[in-house]
Amino acid sequence: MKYCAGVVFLLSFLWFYIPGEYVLMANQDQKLYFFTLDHFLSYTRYPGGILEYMGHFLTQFYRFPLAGAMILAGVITSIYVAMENWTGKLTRSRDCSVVNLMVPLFLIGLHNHYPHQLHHSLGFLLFLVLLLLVPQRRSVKRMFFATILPVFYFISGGYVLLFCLLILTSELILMGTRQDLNERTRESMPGIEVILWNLAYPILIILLGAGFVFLDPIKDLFINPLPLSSAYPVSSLIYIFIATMVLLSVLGRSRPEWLIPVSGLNRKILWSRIVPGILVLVVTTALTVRYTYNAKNRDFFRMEQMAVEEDWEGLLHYADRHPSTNLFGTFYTNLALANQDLLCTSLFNYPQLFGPEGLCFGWDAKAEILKRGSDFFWTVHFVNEAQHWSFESMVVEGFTLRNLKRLIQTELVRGNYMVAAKYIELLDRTLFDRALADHYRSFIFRPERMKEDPVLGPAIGMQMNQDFFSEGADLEKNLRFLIANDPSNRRAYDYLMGLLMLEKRVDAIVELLPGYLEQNGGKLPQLLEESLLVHNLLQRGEDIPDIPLSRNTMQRFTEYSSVLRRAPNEEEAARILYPVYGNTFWFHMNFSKFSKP
Amino acid sequence: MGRKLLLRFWLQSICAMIITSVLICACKGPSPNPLGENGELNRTPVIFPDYRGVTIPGNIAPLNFQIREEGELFRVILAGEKGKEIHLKAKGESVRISSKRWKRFLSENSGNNFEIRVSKKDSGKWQDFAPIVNRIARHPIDPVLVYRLIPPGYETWSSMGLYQRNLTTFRKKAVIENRYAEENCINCHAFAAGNPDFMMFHVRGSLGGTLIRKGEELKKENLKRDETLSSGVYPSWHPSGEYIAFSTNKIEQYFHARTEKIIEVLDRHSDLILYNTTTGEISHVPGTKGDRYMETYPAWSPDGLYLYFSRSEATADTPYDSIRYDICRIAFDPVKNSFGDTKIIFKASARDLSASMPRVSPDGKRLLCTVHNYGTFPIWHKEADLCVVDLDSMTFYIPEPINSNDTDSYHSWSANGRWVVFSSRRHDGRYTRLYISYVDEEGAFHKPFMLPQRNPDSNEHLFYSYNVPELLGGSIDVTPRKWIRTLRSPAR
Repeated sequence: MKYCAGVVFLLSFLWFYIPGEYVLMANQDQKLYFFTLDHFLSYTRYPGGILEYMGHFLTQFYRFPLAGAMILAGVITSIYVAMENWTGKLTRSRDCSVVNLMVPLFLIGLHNHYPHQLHHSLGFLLFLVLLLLVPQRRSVKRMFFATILPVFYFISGGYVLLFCLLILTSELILMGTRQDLNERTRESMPGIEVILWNLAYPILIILLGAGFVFLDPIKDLFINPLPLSSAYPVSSLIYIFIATMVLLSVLGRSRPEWLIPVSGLNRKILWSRIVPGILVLVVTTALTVRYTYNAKNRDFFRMEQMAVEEDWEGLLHYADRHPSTNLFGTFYTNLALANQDLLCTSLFNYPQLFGPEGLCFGWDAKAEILKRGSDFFWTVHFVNEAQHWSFESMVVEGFTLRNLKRLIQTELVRGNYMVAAKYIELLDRTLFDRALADHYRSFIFRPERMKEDPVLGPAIGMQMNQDFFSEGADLEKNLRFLIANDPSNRRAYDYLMGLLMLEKRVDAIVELLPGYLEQNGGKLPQLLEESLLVHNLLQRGEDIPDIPLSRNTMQRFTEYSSVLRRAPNEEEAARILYPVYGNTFWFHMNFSKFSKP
Repeated sequence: MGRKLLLRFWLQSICAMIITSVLICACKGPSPNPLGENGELNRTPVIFPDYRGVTIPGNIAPLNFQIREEGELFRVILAGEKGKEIHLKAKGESVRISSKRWKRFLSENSGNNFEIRVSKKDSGKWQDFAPIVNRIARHPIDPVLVYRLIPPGYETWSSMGLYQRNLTTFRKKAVIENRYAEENCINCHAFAAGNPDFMMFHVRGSLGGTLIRKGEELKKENLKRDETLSSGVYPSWHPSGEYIAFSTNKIEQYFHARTEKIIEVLDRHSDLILYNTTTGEISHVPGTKGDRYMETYPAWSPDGLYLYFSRSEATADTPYDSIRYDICRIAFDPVKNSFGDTKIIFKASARDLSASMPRVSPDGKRLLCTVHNYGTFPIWHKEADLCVVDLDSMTFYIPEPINSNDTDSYHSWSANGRWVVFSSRRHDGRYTRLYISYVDEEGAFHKPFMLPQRNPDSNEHLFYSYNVPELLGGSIDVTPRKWIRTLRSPAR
């Protein structure tokens, strides 16, 4: 069995270290873990809290890909080994079985679906370990159930029901199998007692808890923290997984040969069982990967990781190879362009399927919107709004490293040093972010030092002389207000121009050009030049600004329009023009349509 | 024999020497006397919370504090004019006083001053700070304080709860927490004359409604009617418990761009309604329906004969920074259930101020409200201060001792009118904390002190704001389970 376990560990590790690395990225900052007693005690107020605490503790290591992959692989392998031991206990065999390999396979599939948290799998591990500890003798078994079930319920919540389900299944099968009568008498309980201990008793524990101890809704007390609640997005794989565990227990008791043990082989067994078993496993693997592994998720989380680390160059290189057609991916690509001062040069190098929503989505009180929206406002130096969104993110999902950093940055820039110090002190309570706390602490009451910092300096240097109300849904208004307050806010300018280009409003673009040129040292980025040319053509020579167009742009437009005129229809024109002119404003003007996010 | 004697002599001598040595070491000589024999510092120590020069009630929980000074070791003595001193050592920075000794100390020194004497040891030398002089008032404070804890958010909310704190101890119990109520928003708790048997609070969200307790009866009501702007919002119980006045409001929120401001919360329409707790009938308070004025923050006088409220002549088109409220009152006959005429009590708008949250003192002599530059949501106004209106002379003043450079807002009188609890952001400008101020017989407010905590710096680590503090004469005896059961039932 240890060789099988070794193989499972290695394959799981490699999976989550390489193609499945996005699972670690997606979950590494779900909730900040504080190494304090208060933090631990907050998890003891409801059943299953301890399990969640263990999961959150281990999840903080996801930030280190090697450690994260090892932890995940370790948990999956442990579950596999526990399952092997359980079926081994049922079959009285120490051989590893082919069919049991479904368990780690499905677990990898479950984790590919990234909302599946580590504590969900830890719950499976815990109840399997408990299964192994169930005594054989009937009298001791009763004492075991009586004492352990309430404790296990407090630790793991609804997993107690899974535990009881498997016990119930195996006990009922034991009653029906043709085993030695003496052995049955010694081990098995009467049917009614089996049902009492494994059905009535856990339900009684939960109901008593609901009536006298816990105040949570009864449904939550039954289900949480199983990955079956409404908070866990629907995935049929979880039901398949649970059904598999039940099935393996049933087979272990009644048809152990169907588990296809791998030792004691002969040619007949090899060809009649092992090879078909492996074939089924291969097909199941293919289907699991096909239906659970999402390359778009992989791309998105890698881009997000780079955005959080502010590796804008790396993000754009990645987007070059994996252009995003996802709203958040588009958002991050545009954020990277803005931070590299390339928004008005390379906007259309990347898919812009969502129009202005791809620049900044509208306000929505959802965690996934709030934490990302804050990045946009920070980029355009709208400090109050960056604070607003990150604070709401904290309210909705609790402190994460991401929203806490932003809160510290915004409060430092706003001069609220007491509040910043309060947030910085939270970083001191984590395991891995104390150096970051020291870094930010060095800025308290030191605005001059902040001005020299590459992250805080641009924000603190931005003027906001004229107050205005943030227009939550109106991106253009916000950007115009920001520019009116401080025309040197180049990022706001770029985003505004990007917005107007996406909306194909050439007149509005040209109106802003004089101010833009003044801030940009007289240089006109390629896309704005293309917009200006369109404007001039539409104006037919009237009201044309005195901004020269380069010969290269004129030449390219001549070629573009020539192909456009000759094409038999719009579709054919787009097909011919795209390879050379797909990244121009002209192509966007003629052919782009936006999708709903 | 001789040898034995010699051995016994030596053994006894050695034992005597050991004992003598131990005794000599144990007697270290006179302890450093922190009262005068050491070096003196000409200032009081910096402590947190700032319990320097305050007047405290004789039944308050221990004023545990932290010493925020550099030093190797600290010694503290609490010395009153009567009774035994309390000698303490700081554990780390924190000084914690035994509840039993504190209670005795308070009762022995009721009505008198007492000193907190702090000494510090630095480089082997003891130095005494100037003593902190505080006073113990004869008047007790109400034993229970109810408040909401909520992250000081803007549009979203997550976990929050209503709590009751025994002010004579550190004991705090949840009345209800929203994690058991599908994370609905629990807000606007109110009581009739500090009586926990008459209480209400709103719930907003999937289980929305208003929970009302009247004696043994517990019910959930829907206060929205076709003719009202909204469901009832800001409440005030009539002292008889027969009526609750509510405002109905259309509230809007805006977010500032400049960093010194954050958010503006305004009403664009608001009226006042009266809810009969027996019949469930709702009617408009006369003269408040419609757009002629915006009325909000109803508050009954302690005798129940007047309803005070904030009123503005602003319309939906008035610029936000020009919306100003005055304090008005309307006479009420609780027997006939009829109202008289409305009269302006404090024309704050004439002074370019806006007045919110009127609360009349139990003796009916003065009205406490919050004044700020404009608008109706003072918690987000740094300049918000507590203001006193003398109801006899109709003059007003802003008492300096009680106010700060930051937001000072929601307030609650004790039943004997000698104490006021209020919300303030003076500590860090963001997280609201509770302060208690003594009001003497002349009506003067004394320097407030922060609500004491067992762990004196617990407020530094708390990421919730205290909201709507209300003093009660006794504790709320409805269990959270009962509240939740009622909450999960449909509203009537």
